[in-house]
Amino acid sequence: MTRPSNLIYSVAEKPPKLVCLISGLQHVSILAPNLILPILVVRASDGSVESLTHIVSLSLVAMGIGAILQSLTYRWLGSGYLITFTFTNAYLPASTMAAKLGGMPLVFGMTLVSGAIEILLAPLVRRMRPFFPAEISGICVLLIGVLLGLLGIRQVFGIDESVGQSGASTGPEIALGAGTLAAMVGLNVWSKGTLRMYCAIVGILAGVAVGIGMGVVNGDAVAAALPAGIVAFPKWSGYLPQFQLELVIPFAITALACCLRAMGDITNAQRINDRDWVRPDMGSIRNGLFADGLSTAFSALLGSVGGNTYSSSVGLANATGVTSRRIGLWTGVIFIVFSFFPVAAGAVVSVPRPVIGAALLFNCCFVLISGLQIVTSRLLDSRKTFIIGLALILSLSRDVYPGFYSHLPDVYQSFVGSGFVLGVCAALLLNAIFRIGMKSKVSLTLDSGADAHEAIRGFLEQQGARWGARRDVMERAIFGTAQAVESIAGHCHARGPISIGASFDEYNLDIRISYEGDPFMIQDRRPTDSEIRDSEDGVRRLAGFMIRQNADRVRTTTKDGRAVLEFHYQH
Amino acid sequence: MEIIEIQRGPVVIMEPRGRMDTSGAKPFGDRFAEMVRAGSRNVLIDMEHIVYISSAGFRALLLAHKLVDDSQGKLVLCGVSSELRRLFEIGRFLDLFTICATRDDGIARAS
Repeated sequence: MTRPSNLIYSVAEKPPKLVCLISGLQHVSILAPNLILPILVVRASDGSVESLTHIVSLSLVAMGIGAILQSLTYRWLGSGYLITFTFTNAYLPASTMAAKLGGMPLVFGMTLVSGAIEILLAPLVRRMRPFFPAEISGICVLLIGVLLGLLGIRQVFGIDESVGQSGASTGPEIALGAGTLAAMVGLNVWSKGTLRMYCAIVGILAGVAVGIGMGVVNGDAVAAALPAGIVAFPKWSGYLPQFQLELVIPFAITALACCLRAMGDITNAQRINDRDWVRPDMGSIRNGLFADGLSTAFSALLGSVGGNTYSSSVGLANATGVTSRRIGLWTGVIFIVFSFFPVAAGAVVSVPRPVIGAALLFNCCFVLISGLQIVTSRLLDSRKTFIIGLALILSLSRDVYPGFYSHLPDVYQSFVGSGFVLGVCAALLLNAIFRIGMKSKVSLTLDSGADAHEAIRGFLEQQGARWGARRDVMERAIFGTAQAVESIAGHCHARGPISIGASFDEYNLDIRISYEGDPFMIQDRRPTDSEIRDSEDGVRRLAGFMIRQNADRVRTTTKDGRAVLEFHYQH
Repeated sequence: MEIIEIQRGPVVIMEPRGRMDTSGAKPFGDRFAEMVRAGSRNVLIDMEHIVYISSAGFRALLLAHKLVDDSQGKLVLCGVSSELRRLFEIGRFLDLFTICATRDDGIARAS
C-alpha cells in the first residue's frame, strides 16, 4: 500500500485527539439524519412516542458499534478503514412489511436473519472473485456515487421520490442548500490543512446557523427530547425477536444488496488509501462484510432496524484527506456518548434537509470520480462496455421512472426497489453470461517478424480488453513482445513463423514467444551509450536489456528444437 | 516514416510520425544527419506522434544526440507520452536527453 500524497492523515496514521474529535463529529453530523429510517419503521408498526424516543437512543448505539467494528483490523473482523454504519433505505420495504405483519418483534427477528445471512456470505467472496472483477467494483462505486447525488438533489429540492415532483423546498431552502454546498466546495478547493479537513462540518454548522436565522430549522426533535432530561440511559425495548418464513426472501435479498454496497464502499476506501491500488483486496472486503452483518445483527438485538456501510463517509474521508481508521473509532464512541444525551441527539437530527442534501452532493462527487477511475483503469471490450452501459442506464431508469418500477409485481420489488441493487444485479448477471466461452489462453502466429508491431498491438489490446486487464500492464506486454519479435527477426536468424501465446488470470499475464532460430540473449547489464551507437550488436544488447527491465520475469529456453522466450507480468 | 519539419527562429522542430523501430530509425537518422550537415544545430524533436519506439529507435536518438553535441548545438525532446517516458526510463535515457512537457518549453530550451 502506497500512501497517496493528497491525504492529510492516511488509514494507519494517528491524528491528534482534537482532529479525531472534530472529524468524528463531522462524520456524526452527516450520519445522524438517517435516524429517520428506524423512526419510519416504528411508526409503521404504530409504535408509541415513548418507543420512538427509545429507538433513537438505541439506534445511536447501533451506529456507534457499526463504525467501531468496521474500523477494526482483526483477523476476521473489520475492513480496517474509516467507513461508518448507518440505516439504509434498502431495509425500508422489507422492514415496513414486517412491522405491519408482526410489529417491531418481527422486524427485529427478521433483521437478525438478514445480519446472519450477510455474515454467512462474507467468507464466500474470495471464491466469487471471478464474478466481481475490477470493473464491477468500479460500477458499484459509481452507482453509489449516483445514488448519493440523487439523494442529495432530492434533499435540497424536496423532491418526492415516489412521484418525482417537487415537494416541500421553498426558494430560501434551496438557496440554503446551494449556499451550504458552495461553502463546502469553496473551503475544499481554496483552503488547506485545518479548514480543508473540517470543510464539511464548517459548511453544515454555517448552514444550520443560517437556517436558524431563516426559521427553517425544526426544533421538534429537541423539544421531544427535553422531557427525558439532560442525561438518560438508552432503554432496551425488551422485545423478543419473532420470525416468519415468508419474509426470509425479501430480507435475504436486502442482505445481498447490503453486501454489494459494502463491497463497493470498502473497494472505494481501499483505492483512496493506496496510490498504487490495482484490484480489490478480498480479505479486507470479507472482514468488512462480516463487520457489516454483525453490526446489523447488533442493531436488531438492540431493537433497531438493519443498516449498512455509509458510502458518504468514504466520500467525506476522501474530500477532507482524513482517512485514518481512528476516526471510525472516535465516531463510534461519539455516537454511543450521544445516546446518553437525548437533547444532543435531537439537535443532530434537526439539521435542515437542504443542508444534509448539500453534504451528500459534496461527498457524492468524490465517490463518483473514484468509481469512474476504477472502471477506466481496465481495458474494456464490447462485453465490458455493455455490462457497464446497461447497468448504469438500468440503475438510472429506476429514479427517472419510479412509477413504472413501483407497479411491477411484489416478487420483483426487492430487486427494483433501489437503483443501486437493480444496476449491480444487472452488471453481475451480464458479467456471468459474458464469461461463457472466454478463453484464458490465446495465440497468434506471425509469418515474419518484420513490421509485426501492429499485429501484436491489435492482438494483445483485443485480448486485454476481453480479459479486463490493466492498461499499464498490457502496454508493457505489447512493448516487450514487439521489441522481442523485432530483435528475433533482425538478429536471431529466425526461420519460419513466430508463435506468440498469451495467458491471463487476474494476478498474472504470461507471454510465450517461440521460433526456429538462435536463442534470444537477455542482458542484465545495459550497454554503454557508445556501445549502443557504435558496436554491431549494440541495438540487440539494448533490446535484451530493455526486455529484461520491462517484465517482472524473463526466461529463455529451447523446446522441440524451437527457441522459447517467456515474459511474466504481475497483474 | 513521415517527418514534418518546422523552423521556429533558430530552432528546427522535427515531428516524426509512426514507429521508430528498425524500419523507421533509418529514414529518421538519415534526415537528421542531413539537417545537421545543412547547418541546423538547435533541434526539438516532438515525439507526440511516435506510436512505438524500440532499441533501434533509441540508437537513432543517441546518434542524433552525438551529432548535435559534436556541432555544439542543442537537442531537446517534447511530446513524450507516459508510456514513452517509461521506455526512456527502463532504457536509462532520462538523464541523457532533455525532455520538456510542451512544445513551447522545448523551443525555449533548444534556443
